Amino acid sequence: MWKNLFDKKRINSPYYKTFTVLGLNQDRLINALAKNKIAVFSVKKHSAKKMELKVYAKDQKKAFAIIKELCYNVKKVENSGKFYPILSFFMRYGAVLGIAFFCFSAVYFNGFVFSIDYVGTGIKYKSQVQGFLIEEGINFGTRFSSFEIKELEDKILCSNDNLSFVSCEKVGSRLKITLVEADKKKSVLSGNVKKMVSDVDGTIESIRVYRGTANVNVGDKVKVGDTLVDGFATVGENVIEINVLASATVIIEYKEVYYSQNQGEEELALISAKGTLDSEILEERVDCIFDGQRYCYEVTFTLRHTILAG
Amino acid sequence: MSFIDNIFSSAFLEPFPKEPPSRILLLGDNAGYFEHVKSIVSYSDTEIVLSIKKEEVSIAGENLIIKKFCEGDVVICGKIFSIKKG
Repeated sequence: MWKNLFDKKRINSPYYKTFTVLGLNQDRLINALAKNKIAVFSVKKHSAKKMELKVYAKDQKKAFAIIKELCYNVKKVENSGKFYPILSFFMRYGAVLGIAFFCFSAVYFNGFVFSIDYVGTGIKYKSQVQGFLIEEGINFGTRFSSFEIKELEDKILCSNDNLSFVSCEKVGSRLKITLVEADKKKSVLSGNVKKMVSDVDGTIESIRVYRGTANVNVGDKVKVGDTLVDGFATVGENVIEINVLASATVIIEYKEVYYSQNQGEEELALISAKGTLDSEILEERVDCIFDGQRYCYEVTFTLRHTILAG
Repeated sequence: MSFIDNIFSSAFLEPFPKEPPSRILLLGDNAGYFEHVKSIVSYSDTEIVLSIKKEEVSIAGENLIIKKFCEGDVVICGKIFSIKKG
């Protein structure tokens, strides 16, 4: 019988159920539990009718059944023991598996490109940069480890003369590319232009052709590099080459993101974004999103961009 | 010779009986360990009466708690003043 005193497995078993039992003649209950080979611990009598006792968690169902069978009332059942918090965590294996799967997914999928965001004044050249990235094999689902971010910045900059600065950043599973447009020298009309080419992505709002032949209509969507007006004219059955003189206005959507640790900085974000624009602003909107660490102010402008050729 | 046999021999008793006797172990006056307990006859925080084999053992004290009762072994904690048999 000494073994019960020194049975380390039982002594160190860390998970108990505590019952608060109401009823008279509580000694009968203790004896009944002992007779059914249920070890009882820390029996405390609070009053003639109220008693508290602990049993091993594995015996709780049996103990509860005996208590009820003997017509005692169970007021409260509690869990206790050194390792109860850890054990109860593992007993909810569904939740544990769910949490483990979530953590694994977050870590694993964090290494893939799930979206590419373009910001900055050079955003109008987004489609060109997108095309370049596809050629380099960087697209949705590409691993971040398959390319060097610093190297990518240099490559994008070299691939496009319209950009003066490019910055790439990994934000979670997003690749954020900041494009800064190079300053353009304003040129006078030379009278020598063979065609009018769009320098933005957008929708044609208006087109006026003084010399040349229009390739697009109002409402057409155009991309950077699309020829809007060609330098030829049809006279009778002949096609003759001429210099283009035309103007067009294109409605473009431009976005810029401003980050801050503070809330309520919509006005500041708007002012900061406006400073980089040289087109006429038709509409402006600021959306604020909190990503868990900082506030992201997304400023969206609808602009009217004028293209002249002549 | 085992430790228990040594005790029996010193007490001029027969060598260890077939059926081992019940044992009571006192740990200072704060705890007691009782073997071969059949049942608890009565229990309060000043007196606990145990039925051990065919006899009753009464433990008197203060703030008595049955710390463990399992397979005939009982551990009682609290201030134990006296243990009486019968």
